[in-house]
Amino acid sequence: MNVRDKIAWCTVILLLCALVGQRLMRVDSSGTFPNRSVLLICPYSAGGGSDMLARGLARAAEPDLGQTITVNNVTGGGGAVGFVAGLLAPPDGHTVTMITIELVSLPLQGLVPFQPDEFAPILRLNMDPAALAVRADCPANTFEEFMEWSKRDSKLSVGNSGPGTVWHMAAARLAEAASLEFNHVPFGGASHAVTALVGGHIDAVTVSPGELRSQILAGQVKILGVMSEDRVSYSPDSPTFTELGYPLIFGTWRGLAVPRETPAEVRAKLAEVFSKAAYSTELAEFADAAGLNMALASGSDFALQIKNEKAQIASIMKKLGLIYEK
Amino acid sequence: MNCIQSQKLLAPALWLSCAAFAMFTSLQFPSAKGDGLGPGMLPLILALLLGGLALVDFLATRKKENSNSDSAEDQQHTGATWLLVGILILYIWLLPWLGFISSSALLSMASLRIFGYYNYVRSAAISLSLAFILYILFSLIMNVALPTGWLG
Amino acid sequence: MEIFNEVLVNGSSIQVWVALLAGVMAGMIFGALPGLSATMGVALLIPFTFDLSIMPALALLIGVYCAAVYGGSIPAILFRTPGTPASAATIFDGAVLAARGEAGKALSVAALSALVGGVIGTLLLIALTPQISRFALRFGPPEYFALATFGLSMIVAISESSVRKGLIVAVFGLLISTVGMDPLTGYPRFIYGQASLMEGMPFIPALIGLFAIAEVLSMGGLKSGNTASSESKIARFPSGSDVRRSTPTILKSSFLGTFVGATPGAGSDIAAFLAYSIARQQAGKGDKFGEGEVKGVAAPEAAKTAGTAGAMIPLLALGLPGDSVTAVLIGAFILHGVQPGPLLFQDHSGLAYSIFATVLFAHILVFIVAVSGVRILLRVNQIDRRFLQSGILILSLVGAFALRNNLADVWLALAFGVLGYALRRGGYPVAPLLLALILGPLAEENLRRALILSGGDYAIFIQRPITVVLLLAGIAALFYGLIRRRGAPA
Repeated sequence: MNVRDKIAWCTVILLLCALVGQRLMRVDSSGTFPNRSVLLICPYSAGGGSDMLARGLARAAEPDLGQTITVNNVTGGGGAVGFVAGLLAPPDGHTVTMITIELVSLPLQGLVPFQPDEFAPILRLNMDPAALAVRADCPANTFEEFMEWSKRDSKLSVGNSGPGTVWHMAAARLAEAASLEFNHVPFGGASHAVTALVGGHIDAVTVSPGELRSQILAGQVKILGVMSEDRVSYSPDSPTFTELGYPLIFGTWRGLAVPRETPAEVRAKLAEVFSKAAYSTELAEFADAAGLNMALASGSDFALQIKNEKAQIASIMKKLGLIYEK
Repeated sequence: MNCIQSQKLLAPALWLSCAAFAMFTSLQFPSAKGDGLGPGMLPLILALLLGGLALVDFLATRKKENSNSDSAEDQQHTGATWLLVGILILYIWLLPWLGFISSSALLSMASLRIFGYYNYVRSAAISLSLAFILYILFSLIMNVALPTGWLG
Repeated sequence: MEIFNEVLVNGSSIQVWVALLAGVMAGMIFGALPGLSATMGVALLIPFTFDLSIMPALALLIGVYCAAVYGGSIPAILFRTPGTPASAATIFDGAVLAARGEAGKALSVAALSALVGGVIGTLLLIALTPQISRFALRFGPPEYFALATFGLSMIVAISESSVRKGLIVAVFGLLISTVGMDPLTGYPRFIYGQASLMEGMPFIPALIGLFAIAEVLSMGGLKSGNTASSESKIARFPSGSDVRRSTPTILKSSFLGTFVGATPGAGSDIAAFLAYSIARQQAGKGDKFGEGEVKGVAAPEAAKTAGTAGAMIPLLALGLPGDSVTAVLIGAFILHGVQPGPLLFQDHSGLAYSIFATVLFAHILVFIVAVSGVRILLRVNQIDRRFLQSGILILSLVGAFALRNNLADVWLALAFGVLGYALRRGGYPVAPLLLALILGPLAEENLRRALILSGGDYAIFIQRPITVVLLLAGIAALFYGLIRRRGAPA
């Protein structure tokens, strides 16, 4: 047996020991929750709003949890792949999933093998309302003028972030409430719709104010109405639709959830740790810089909201012809 | 018709069946709305185009003499290739049960054997090291959650 | 003068240089590992910039971005495994060069072209940002459709031996690219309940399968052993004539790359494929594309790095991201209190020009690191082919997984691997398939979006100047390619 074979033997033995050791370490970590690192599944890709929120929150919550929190972007299927991964994980609290409004809309389309109530929400983190925006040089300065324009000019093309996405539904809700008719133009994401708006290829968009912020500040785009209770801080002159006489409150939300079977005390612990982090000034500053509109709510309120929105979303999607019967 | 020629006609036949399949599937898509084309129109056109081209390919291949048949070396490799494909299917299937490190090490050992490396000890050492290096690189440094399972 | 001073102050800070170098190093690794994209690299490094002040933070991220785009070509040339989608076009000739023992030449041509592309792109960025951004904004759905059609007209040029086989593969590629949720109605096409396919056929697993896994399956180079190592020492750097010959290609590709990169709907990936196809379309007498032509490495490399500079144009001038990397970069800029957009040049022009300088130096640093790394990289030729193949196999499978942490993508990569192997055995070219996969979604989506805008009226495609020019150029390219084929049957 030559030297190289001896080295090979040693390597094999050493690495096999490491393999078994790594395995034993995992078994050994029993006891109270959390006894190993927690995985936070973000169903959207790195760098987006959901991902930034997940990473910011993970960083703020780590010290209180006493374990590391790893953000894992499990993406695909407009969020469906990540939701499925979160539901398939063992319900012991070590896998937390970030949920968004797509959790409600995807099952309605009948394309995914889960239902929203398979998740137990533990905390709502943020809500972004929809805003109706037009180019700054657009003749319509108010929503009323926009309505006149819309009625005169047969069908305005309104860009959204894709078929069946929250901003598509927002435009449909607006059209319904103000009895207008829109030519819905889906784009591959909100930023593409905003680009097309600035380039003059479409007439208006319905996306979140955060996605319009740099254009608003630069004076390229103006907001005619916001679907929230309060006005947007960086566009204080733009009224809410409620002020305009159309009580529309609609937008996307993000929150945390675990599978329904997770024990109650584990859920309580997660809710405690993550709300503390979410209320911290550190996270507030981060969210402000990232343009995320924080709107915290408890797990039970959040669950109720999801339940209420389901019927609403179902009716919009049906009207838009997005529900395909199999 | 000899064996090599029927093998050559396999490709056009496969394209043709693929086109037929796509055509029938896309005919079931819902009809057009805003744009006048709908989800099914372009796949249908492409399927018809593929079918037409496949027919041309079929006829052209039939006419041509079997001029450039596979070299002997290629034929020799075919068995090894399909064996490797089978092992890869087994690997991807095992990955979530056995875990990344151990299944990758096993795949590496098996593939080294197919590639013609017979020293088992060194092969095991290389395979385990490779699996560990990739695990450290992707899982620990780059934060990619590789599948974990029964062993590693 | 004030601006100049501010740039100088930012440039003389040692922190900025350290951050830039660290970014370049990290970016190379992210780019070189298949499945880890420039987007992921930038996103993962953002938390590390929280404690840095603004210029070092931006330098780190820009360094990652520029280097990751180059880094993808290293495995493309050495292992036939594209590290990033944009580097796939480099494989066609780069990997052939490497197989001939001229990996050193391929790598240095790639680095040189990337440098020239990056510098030209950055100079255009500095000089013509307002003009180019106005031009880019004129690209609406009809223009993107025309651009994609123009790209697809190159199929004849890149179908190696048989136009018929090339067309079959291209149409098949277009058909595969319709898999997934219909971009305009949301109807799921050909997905059979697989949520992983809803967003369309994932491109990176397809690339990994068609190149890396297909190569391993065909058991290439196993019998020939280690013959490459001795020759590679001789042919380390490109000869003077190689550089002279490819200079026009590099320059053309750089301009093309900048413009394509600047349009928010296209990006570096499309720029690289377009540049490769055009270079091949315009091949001269002595050019041997597909058989290790230096120009075939130079064109996509110059175009894709120029494309990164181009993508900074809408980002900085309009605050609008063109692709996923720039979207992440915008997020990072905002976190550091920089709001990209027209106001950046008005209120913080010093900062804007410091960013330009950072982009320029990032490309230069990438070149220095890349060239000094060639010698080390060539050592892989001394590794036993059998170990290398087995390593590539596992690395590519991990890469397919890492993209979305999704096991379904590994199955897809294997399926594409078998497809790539079968295509090779049947004598079908792979390049048209890739061109179709990359341009198919752009073409379909924008064709139908344009028709929604026009209410189903096809006249929209002949009423807009850019659209007309691009469509005519596409038709001309198609006929030019067919006539050349007839004239000189290869």
